[in-house]
Amino acid sequence: MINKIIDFAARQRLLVIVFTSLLVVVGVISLNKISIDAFPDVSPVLVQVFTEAKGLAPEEVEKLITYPIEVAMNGLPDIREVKSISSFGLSVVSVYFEDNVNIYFARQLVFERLQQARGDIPEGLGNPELGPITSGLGQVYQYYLEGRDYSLMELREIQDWIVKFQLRTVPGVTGVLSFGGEVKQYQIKLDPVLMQKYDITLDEVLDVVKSNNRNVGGNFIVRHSEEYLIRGLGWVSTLKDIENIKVVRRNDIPVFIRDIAEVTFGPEIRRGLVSMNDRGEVVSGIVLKLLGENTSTVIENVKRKVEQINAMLPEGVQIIPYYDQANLVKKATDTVKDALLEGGILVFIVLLLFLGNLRSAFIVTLTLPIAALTAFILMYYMDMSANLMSLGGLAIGIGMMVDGSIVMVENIIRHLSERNVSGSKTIPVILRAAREVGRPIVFAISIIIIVFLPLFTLQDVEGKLFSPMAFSISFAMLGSLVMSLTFVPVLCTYFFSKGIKEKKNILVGFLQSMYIPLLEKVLKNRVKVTIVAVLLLAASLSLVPYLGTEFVPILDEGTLSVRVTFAPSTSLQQAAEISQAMEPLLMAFPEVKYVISRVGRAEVGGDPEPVNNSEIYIILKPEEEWTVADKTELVDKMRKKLSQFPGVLLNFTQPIQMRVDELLSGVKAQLAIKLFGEDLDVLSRKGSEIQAVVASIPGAADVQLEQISGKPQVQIKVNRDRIARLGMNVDEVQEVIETAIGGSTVGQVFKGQKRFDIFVRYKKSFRDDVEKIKNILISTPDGGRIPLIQVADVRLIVGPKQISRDNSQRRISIQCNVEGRDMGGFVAEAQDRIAREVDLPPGYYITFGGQFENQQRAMARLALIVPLTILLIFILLFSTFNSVRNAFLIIMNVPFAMIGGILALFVSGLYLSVPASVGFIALFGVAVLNGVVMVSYFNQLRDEGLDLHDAVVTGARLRLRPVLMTALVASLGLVPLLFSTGTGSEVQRPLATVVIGGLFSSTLLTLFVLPALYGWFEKRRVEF
Amino acid sequence: MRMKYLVAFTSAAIAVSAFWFFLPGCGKTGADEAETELLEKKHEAEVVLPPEVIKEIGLRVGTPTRTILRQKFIAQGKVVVNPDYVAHLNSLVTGRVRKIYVQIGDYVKKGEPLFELESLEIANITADYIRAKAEYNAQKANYERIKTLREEDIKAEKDLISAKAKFERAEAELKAAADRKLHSLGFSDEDVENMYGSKEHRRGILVVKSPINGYVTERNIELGQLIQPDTDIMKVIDNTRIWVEAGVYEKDYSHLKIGQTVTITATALPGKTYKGKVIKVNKELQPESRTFKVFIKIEKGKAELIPNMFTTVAFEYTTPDSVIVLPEEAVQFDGTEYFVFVAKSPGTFVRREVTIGEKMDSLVVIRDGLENTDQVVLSKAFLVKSEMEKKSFGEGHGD
Repeated sequence: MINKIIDFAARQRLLVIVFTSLLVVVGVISLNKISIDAFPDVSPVLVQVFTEAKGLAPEEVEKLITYPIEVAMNGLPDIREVKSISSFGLSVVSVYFEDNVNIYFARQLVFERLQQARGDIPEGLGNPELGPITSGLGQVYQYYLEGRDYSLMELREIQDWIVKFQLRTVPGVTGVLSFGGEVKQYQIKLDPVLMQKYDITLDEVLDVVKSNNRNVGGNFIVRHSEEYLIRGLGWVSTLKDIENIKVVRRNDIPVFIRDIAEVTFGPEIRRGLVSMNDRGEVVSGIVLKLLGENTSTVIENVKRKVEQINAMLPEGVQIIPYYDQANLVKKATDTVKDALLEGGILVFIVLLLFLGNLRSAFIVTLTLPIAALTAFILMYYMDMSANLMSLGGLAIGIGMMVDGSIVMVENIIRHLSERNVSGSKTIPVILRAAREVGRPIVFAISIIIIVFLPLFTLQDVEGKLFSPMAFSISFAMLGSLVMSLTFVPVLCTYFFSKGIKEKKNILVGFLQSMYIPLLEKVLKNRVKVTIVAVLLLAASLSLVPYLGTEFVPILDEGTLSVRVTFAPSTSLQQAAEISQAMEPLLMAFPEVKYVISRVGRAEVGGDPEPVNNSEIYIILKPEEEWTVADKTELVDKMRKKLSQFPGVLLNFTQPIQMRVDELLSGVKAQLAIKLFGEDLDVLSRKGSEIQAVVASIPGAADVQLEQISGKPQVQIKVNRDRIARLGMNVDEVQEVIETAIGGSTVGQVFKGQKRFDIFVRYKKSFRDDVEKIKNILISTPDGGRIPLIQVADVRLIVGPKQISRDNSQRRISIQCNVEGRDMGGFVAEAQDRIAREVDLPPGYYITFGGQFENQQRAMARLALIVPLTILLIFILLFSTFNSVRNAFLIIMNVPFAMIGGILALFVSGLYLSVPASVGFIALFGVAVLNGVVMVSYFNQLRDEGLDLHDAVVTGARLRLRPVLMTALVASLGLVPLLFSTGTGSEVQRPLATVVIGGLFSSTLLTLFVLPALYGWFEKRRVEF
Repeated sequence: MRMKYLVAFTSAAIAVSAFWFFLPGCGKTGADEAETELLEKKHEAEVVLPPEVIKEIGLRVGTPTRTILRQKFIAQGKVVVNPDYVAHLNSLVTGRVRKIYVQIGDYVKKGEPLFELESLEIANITADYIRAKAEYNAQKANYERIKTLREEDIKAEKDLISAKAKFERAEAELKAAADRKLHSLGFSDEDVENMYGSKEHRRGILVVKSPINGYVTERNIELGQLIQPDTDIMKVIDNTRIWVEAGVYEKDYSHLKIGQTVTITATALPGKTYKGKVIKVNKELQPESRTFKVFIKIEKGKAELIPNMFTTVAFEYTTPDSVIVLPEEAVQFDGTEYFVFVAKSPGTFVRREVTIGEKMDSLVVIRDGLENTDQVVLSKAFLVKSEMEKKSFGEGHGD
């Protein structure tokens, strides 16, 4: 089979060249068309249901809205989890599906069930809607509107009705969220005193506004053979129109709205605002990318559209972006691209030095881009995106991609120079040489692909993160395999048509002269060497417990964000005030380009942030302009500066990281400790105990207890006895609370395509204080009016702020980040301490989630799969060598390879993370290959009749070059990743560290210990 | 061969177990720490704020104010005319309007004619009166004559008594039957006096005159209109004699006193206030409106107030003694208790529970828990509270 392929290639040389060129062309096309993202999107398959329930407190939201929706979602197929948050005026139910579920199918399922839930939600309380089809990486472009001469209300109107409208038409954009500014309303501010004077009830006002704002169609009439449509025009269109609505007639004199109310434009009640360093409040927008779209294309399109919109905006108004992911995407891909390029150059240099021949080095290096392009083609057809991880896979694979070609070219050169042929005679020689190594190459590359198999079995986040890497490596290896069997020999026939005389390679000669005496010494002291090796292994294994563990290192997004949490009762204004006081402090850092604070939440559909939360984006200048050493120092300084504000909790994170963390675990930090239970008070109390424990553990940073309580309430409890005596219903009182105090929308004003709410509420001065609320008058059936306090008890309490539930169970979460310490050790300590120090009532239990959860799951999976893979390799080796001893001897390289990897991690202070594990996996592949190269040659020489010692020494000498070459290209290809500081290098660095360190030790062992052991393993054969 | 497999699997097992050994990172056990006394901490906790932060956030510290707290409650009311200065004009008898002297809005002085009424009944009553008067005059003359004669002993005592009786009867007749009827109809003494000699009145004409100074506010008649006794013909009110009538709710009744000072604002006259005093309180609760009617006399500027204007009345009252008050912003609430922050030393604040009393115009009475000399956080106390809550969560161990 393999030989047939080689034969075919040799016969159809031109076809191979054409085919390869075609591959390159298609590859380049795919490369240009492939979607480019910063990171793989790890967001789960999630459908969110938002229900806005204006004015409703968390308890009611939970009972009346969240609960029916949750219940309706139960029993959907492939559902993983249902989480919900009920906060003031908003219910968010998040339905998580299994990863293999199509998002549109999931949305359809949820939507169908929602119909059923709608019926269970009391009339008029809220209309559940599905959230935008986007993911944690979805907020790709954010901007604000510049327009100094325009008021916040005017700017918001422009944002809502021009900018947003236009941006939503951009392909790949699923929605635009407006954030900040003031939404214009036509407001009827009732004066209760005047209403009392004219004896007008609230109901009358609401009814009369509703029944004076309607357009109707009167069908048509035929007039002289023409049809005339009939329209009844009754929409209000101006403030005057509203003012002139008649409410009642008293003594033949009409009383108009204007007689009892002030009608003005006013801002909608708002739950969020945005402010920026030097300009105070601004109006901003967030562009949401449709799930699965190409980030860079979408951003490009958005930018183009923004230019168009800017041209049509009123004079002086401009869209100014303050955050876009294009930069991040570019930086992340640049990091890997640079690494690829530099790695390629290093590989070329190594090849040149070891092969001592420009042409052969060129041929081998040429397989690199072609293998990479093959990977791109396959990735493109599999709808994968080029991102940090998939490109990273290529960077890691650089060394391994050339392995097949190296073996091929080396063998061809050897044969050619041995036979000293030229012209047409070269082809059979090359063919023979190629056939000779065909099988070993296929075997070697299969081993590499096999070692990456475990990555395909990773689930969830780690699966989404690392399977692109495994795919791209496998694809590239496949490409390199095909190339090394076909293209490389064919190219050799052209390049070496004049034959080749292998010159004495000075470098290799020098290395051999150093190596052989040493090897001889080792062979004499086999026992000692073996003991030293085993001791080293034991020593390095004993270091493992001291390695910290973490899931995946944090990717540097280049933008900082800090979540400032204020006391739960904090008002929007107060939160904004402090945020705005923080802005200049942050701006004072020379590293900061600008600062933008987002207090509270945007429109429904965004993050359901409460108003006591402010998310400050800190856009940083390029690192070259920094005055501090690194980001950690910067964050420390900022934290110190900001924490002087009393009563604020800070959580430093990054925009994408925060959003992804939240989607994964429901909290916006790395670690989430969740306490489940029924009673909100108990949850609150025990939660703060847990928080205290966690905060005292070294490494804990930004420890925060979820604020589930602390929102003060004015409770108005209707006294049934008293209203009964007056002949009233509870509803009559409730309506006043709802509309007079809370306000209600009674219709809309249409202005072209714009529409504005008509909002009725008491004048502020009659309702903005508890005492005033107590004195609000309520109409009695007798036509009298009595103050609220006479029919209801008004009291102040502190109630829940939000009620979070996971799978229909209430919970409180304690979130924290871990700094300067490994996640795994921290969690272990936390678990232990909490178990000992916090006493939980029955029915209450704790779970640990967040990144830690992912890490545990990933490690558990790897702990199962990696040994199985090793077993598989072992069987593969066994079937190849048909010898347990050889297979075992080669597999011994695996633990020895670990020595260097572990040491490298230990010395560099990096943690044992998933990328590091991937490094170990890659390492095993190369280590096994080196072992194969060595042992198979020893065997060959033994078969040729050499005695054990000679076979080992000769074999080792001749195999020094390929072993060193393989190890060097594999490790040098990774060196750029090791030293890169670009975006995304954090993830690749542990991997590179492990591989480079491990290859160092494994190469030494392959060169010295393996020959030493070979003797023992082969002794018996001698005796036969 | 069997041996071979055995070795194969043992070796695989070694590799596998080596892997297991290194994969899960063993955790380190944490140092023992004393149990956290979370709840007790809450009350002892201190918040220390550096001066620049205090300045930055605008936190003010000062002593509470001791003052007599002015309080008030609000009632809705309207301008009414003092009922003493309202005149309704009507007719006791059926008649026809003969002449009208005034229009609505005219100012009339007391005694000025308003309109004339022509009526058979009046004519009859007038005739009765004249007859009675004539009889009276006759009897009077007769009685006086007999009296003189009796003095001279010409007439017998019996005659005198008889004459006197007749005279008195005539007098009573005149007064009761005629004089009083005429007065009831609206004739003045003078009119009645003149009537006897005047032909005019004998025709049954009544000139209705204004009983008070004031404005004509109602005129429900036209010339020649036939008036039934139940018709309201005209109304004259003196709008300089106005009161404000307010409906005070039950909840405020205990603070209501005669003589209490009130401040009145009228919807029609924005920006103006009028002072007044409570002069009368209706002790009956109006069942429909559930209010007590209270009448208020306005002290100054009442000419601007027009009857039936809507007003809002603020009834002022004061605490009997001077009390400690704080701005509302200074007092915090945690769901069960009210508390303030007292500066132990500059920049160091501790929580102090207080009992609060009434609230008025963003001031709160502190009934208990504070001394005059205490240094209290007067503004932005909320931020101190949030800092303290944050501390009680157990954060900030290291610093």
